[in-house]
Amino acid sequence: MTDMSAEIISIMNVIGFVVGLAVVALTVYIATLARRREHGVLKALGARNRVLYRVVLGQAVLSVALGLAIGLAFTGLSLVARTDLNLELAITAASLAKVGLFAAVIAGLAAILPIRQVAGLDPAAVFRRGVAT
Amino acid sequence: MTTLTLDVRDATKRFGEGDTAVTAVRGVSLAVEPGEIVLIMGPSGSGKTTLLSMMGALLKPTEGSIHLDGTEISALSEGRLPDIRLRHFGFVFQDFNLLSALSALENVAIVAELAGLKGRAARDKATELLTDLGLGERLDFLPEKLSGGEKQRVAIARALVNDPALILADEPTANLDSKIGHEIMRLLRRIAKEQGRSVVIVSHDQRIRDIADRVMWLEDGTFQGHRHDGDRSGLRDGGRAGACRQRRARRRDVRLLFARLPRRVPRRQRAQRRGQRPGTSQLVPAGGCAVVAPASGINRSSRSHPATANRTGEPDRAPGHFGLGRSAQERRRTRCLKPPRRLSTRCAAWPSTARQRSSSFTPGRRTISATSRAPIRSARSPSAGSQVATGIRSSQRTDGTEAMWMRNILMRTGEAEAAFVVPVHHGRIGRLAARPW
Repeated sequence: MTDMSAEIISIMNVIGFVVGLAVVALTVYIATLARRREHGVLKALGARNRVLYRVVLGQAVLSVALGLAIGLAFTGLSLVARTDLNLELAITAASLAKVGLFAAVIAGLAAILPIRQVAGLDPAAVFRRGVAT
Repeated sequence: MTTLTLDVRDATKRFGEGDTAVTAVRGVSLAVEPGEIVLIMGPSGSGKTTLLSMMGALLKPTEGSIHLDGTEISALSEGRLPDIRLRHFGFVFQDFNLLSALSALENVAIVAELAGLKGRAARDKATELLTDLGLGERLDFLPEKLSGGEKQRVAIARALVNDPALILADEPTANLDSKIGHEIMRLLRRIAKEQGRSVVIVSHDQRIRDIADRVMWLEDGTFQGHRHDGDRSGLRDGGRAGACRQRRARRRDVRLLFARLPRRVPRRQRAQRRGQRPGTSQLVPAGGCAVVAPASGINRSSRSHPATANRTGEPDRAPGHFGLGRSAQERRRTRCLKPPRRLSTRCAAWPSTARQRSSSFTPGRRTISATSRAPIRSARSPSAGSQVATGIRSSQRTDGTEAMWMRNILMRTGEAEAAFVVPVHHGRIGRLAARPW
């Protein structure tokens, strides 16, 4: 019975990871897409690619950090309201570190596609009106 | 010996390969001296923006070279170009291209930070520049809260923040009204002359000619001619006298453009050829769009063509609504077009009041009718019964150079005539003032 619960929790973890990755990746990708022209302008003005990569990665990390904070807040809330649950919740430093690590992995993976997009921007396109850079 | 800021040597830019290759710029050479203002004009598609991009190290020429202060920047690796752009060039764009989430101050400071200045120092420098440009009260405003002129001044401050030797401006006045546009140009001139920076401007705007030291005409990727101009009187009276001089210069340019073509047929003779009483017009505004048809004998064929015929089926308009047929009121209005002996109020106010004006040309067999400030949607050849050009000017603000555009289309297509279609909301053709050159 315990093994089965562990398996269920493992599957839920995987699903949570995939869903979290999809949501963060989509958020960062759309945000980058919306700022495409501005990234092009910065490139034209002389910003190096690595500066823009940092911006995109920062955005991904911020999104994940916000998600993590909200998740932890809900976990804390469930700890407070656990009186009528026949379930023991144990939150250890190790488990928090594990969650943080996975969150960082999500941020890194979510930033790959937007970074590729930024790298492919043509700075000369800022002069072409009516054409999205 | 004068040190050249920028030296373009036989630069050619080709896009694509083989049969599909398009040569945007062909063997262009241009040397820009410190403190010089060079204005590059020309029709759309002539290669102005490509040339500007090459000069700004945004594109590399396919052939030829570009030198900045003696360094061949066209030979540098891609990795070194961002730094060149950041420290040696200042860019001013038509659409301002400010970062919408940042304030005016941050928009300028961020470029200083990219060049290595630390946060506080960058903000101080940006504050100083913006205050100098009269934006001291607007430092914390987001771009959306700024007027067009203010946005362009922020863009100029951003271009200046890293003390570049060269400022490259792409249609800097296109989104501004004439007064603000002139202010911006005077600001660029002040920057060039007081700080010794070179300014290269690409523009369609004939009104800014007086600001430039040199005007180059780019067509089909090559320079067709240039003018050195020492006349700066337009700058001293708020641009009013300058506006009149610019109009005269514009007329002179068009005359020069047509100089190679046969002489124009006198108006009376032209009307007689059509079997029409002088002072009557055959031009027809149509429902949905206004069709500006050629005004000579070829007009008949253009009207018979479905593309250029009156779409509403209404009879032709009464005399005097366009071109050859002019009412007394229109004739009075066009007096201002003649070089004035002295500056009159009417003449000074002319560009803004006569927003809708037209031009008629009859250089031999080619007849061109132009509607100024009306974006041209397409051009059709009545003789061939086909569309010879589309989307000629659909989104950009127009500035009275349509006649040159039309002339270019005719020259390129080899057509003797064409009908130019303009949207009806720009039309009001019935109230146009004729402008014979």
